[in-house]
Amino acid sequence: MDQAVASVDHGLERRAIQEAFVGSLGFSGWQIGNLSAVLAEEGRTPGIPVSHVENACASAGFALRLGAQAIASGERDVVLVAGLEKMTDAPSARRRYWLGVSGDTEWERSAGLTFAGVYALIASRHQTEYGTPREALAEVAVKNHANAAMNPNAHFQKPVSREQVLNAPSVAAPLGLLDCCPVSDGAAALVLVGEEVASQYTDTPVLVAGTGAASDTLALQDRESLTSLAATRRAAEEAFRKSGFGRSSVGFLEVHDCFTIAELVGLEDLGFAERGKAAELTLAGATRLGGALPVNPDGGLKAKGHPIGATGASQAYEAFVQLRGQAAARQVKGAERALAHNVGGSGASATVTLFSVR
Amino acid sequence: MGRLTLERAALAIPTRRRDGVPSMGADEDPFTLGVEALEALAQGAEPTTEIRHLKVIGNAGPATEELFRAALGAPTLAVEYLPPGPEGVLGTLGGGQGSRERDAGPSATLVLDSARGATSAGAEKAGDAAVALRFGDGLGLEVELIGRQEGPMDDAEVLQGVVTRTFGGAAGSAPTGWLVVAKDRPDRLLRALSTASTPVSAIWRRSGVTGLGEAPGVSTLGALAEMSRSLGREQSGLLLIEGPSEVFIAAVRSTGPCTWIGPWDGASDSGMTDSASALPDTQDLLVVSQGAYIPRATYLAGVSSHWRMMADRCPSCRRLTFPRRGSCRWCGAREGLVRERLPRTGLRVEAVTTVSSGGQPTEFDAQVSSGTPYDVVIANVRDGVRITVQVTDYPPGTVRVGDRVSLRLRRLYPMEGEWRYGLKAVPEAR
Repeated sequence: MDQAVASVDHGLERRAIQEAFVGSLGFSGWQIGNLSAVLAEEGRTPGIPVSHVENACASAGFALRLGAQAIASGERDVVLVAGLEKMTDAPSARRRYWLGVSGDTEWERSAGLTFAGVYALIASRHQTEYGTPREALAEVAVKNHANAAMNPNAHFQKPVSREQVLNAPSVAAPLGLLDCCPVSDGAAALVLVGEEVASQYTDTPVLVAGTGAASDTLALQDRESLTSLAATRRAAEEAFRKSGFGRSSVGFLEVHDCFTIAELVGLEDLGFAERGKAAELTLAGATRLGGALPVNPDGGLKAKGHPIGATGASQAYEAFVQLRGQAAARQVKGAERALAHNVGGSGASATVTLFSVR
Repeated sequence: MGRLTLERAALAIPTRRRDGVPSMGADEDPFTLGVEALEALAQGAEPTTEIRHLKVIGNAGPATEELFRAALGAPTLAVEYLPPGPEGVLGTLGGGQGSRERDAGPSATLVLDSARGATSAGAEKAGDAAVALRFGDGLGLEVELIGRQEGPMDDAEVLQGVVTRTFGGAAGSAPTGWLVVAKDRPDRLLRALSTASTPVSAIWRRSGVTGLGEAPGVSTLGALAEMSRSLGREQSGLLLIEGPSEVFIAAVRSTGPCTWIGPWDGASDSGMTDSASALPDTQDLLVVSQGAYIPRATYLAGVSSHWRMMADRCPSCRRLTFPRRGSCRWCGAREGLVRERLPRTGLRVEAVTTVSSGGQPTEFDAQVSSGTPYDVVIANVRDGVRITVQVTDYPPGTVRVGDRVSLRLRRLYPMEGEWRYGLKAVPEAR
């Protein structure tokens, strides 16, 4: 939060912040209640209303949406949106306990699944219906590790080879250890301001052009399809409708790739690949930095890390940095519009946000 | 006649074998096996409509009245526990099915034999099995425990005395044959029988039930099964069963065919031996597991769907709601929901994963650390209803998308001092 406030081009007084929204799961039970007051206290913005948003892994995506709505409603001019999670200091048993609490307990958890297992079932079905090759899953990890190696804020700083991914120990077949996002600590904070006052703070703002959000059944088994997330499709539809953007105008995507299969399914649900064709696109290199449609230039959840409540805000941060041309080695050339896609659980909730340079 | 006849008997045995006899896997116990036998007895019908009173003979393990009520969907079910062995079985069959049970409505008896936790020598040979019995006024077997004799039963005069006392020597009522279940002295006993001047036309002998081991309760019923197949209508026989220290004698009369459900000849030998993955029975159940929490009351309230696959069919939109929740999940209707039992066999696998160490929730740590990974599938049930269940009895990697599976009630994981149960999948033959 300190960095976010300090980074504002023309300066920002803390007392100008009128309201805040903070996304967090409350991982490992650390201050699961009333995180809001803690943020106001530690952020030295005492007295302002703060809301803690807990929508599983999509917590910050929803916090961002609420912040944008507060401004769009005309009630606020300056809003702080944050996401945070501290995960690595919990013992591993406690960590694995918490990593499942956002899923379906009644069936999935009782059958012995964590999210790795649930996404593995999605992968199993995707392979059955579309013949999705194992190599395509591996390629997602290879690409995102390569991108993360250029992102100083990423958890993983080293590239991995396809063989390393394919030979990694199995976690939930067909997913191996390197198909899974790591357990990371992280936080991201965003300053949202009204369009009329934006020039007070910067000459190069990034516009939140449209947000979409939706929810779905908690359990995969209760959905119409096992290979497509309806919440993503609905959220994307809403965001594109509100922004008036066409998909071809989007320069790069931040896709919620908690597991490699999630990036492929995300590409299809967001409408950037035909059903069953994301693997082909990925294997052809289209989603690499420098490809026709770069995906997760920051390394994604897979390699940048997935501090649960922070992820949605960190995706928006990447969009902000990239669209202002400040992404250094991982800069997507010429991008003027970007999409961020944040998923809760295995698709029980999702947000899609479209950004553009003014 | 106030007597009830044994109309139907259903045998359930585990698919694993240890030393050649059926042996429960890590996620089975006398409760799950007993429920399996009761389900088989109902032959696809809802067991609730069959049973009001349940007698449990033998090692009931954790099978409390509360669990049986939940498993059978019978909140007023009365459960009575009786000691194991031939005496319990024959005594119940012979004298226990009196007017009290008849007045209480349909009853069932469950015979549980389990080597689990047994410490006596030779317990391994006992095997694990459960038999559910149904009595009624219809055709079947009438059994009467007519005597017991301490010490060896190889005196021809004593045997002759038993026959005379039982059948009165009247022409036509003499026993058609003897059935002898003897462990140690079959030859002496048979010699004695053959020299007794009784009008015996056949002598059958056996030791235990073929392929099922020598568990006393099940062996007794196995002997009855064999006898009922040998007896013609209105024929009688004598059953001698050698217990640990005495011999039990029962008169058996057939009034017509009795249905024997299950692998009574021990034919269903899957050849699967118990792997090292057995959960230690001594696991400290009192440790509150770090699992995703479902309160006990909620868990027990949900068993009609979670254990018995009950769904609600909506009268207005005709769609299925599973698990049941008191209203239609599609249109919200609350009135007139019709209970519908969903199939538990022939479920098609739509997706499968093999969960390895590190991919399991903490409450499954003991299962994974004790040996092997496990498969989890999403299977299609009916009309768009799917379920997510763990695969059991078979090694990981056995199940493929497109296979068919059946559902069995098994232990899931321990929580707050007791085992939680739920359905798991067993692959059907391809």
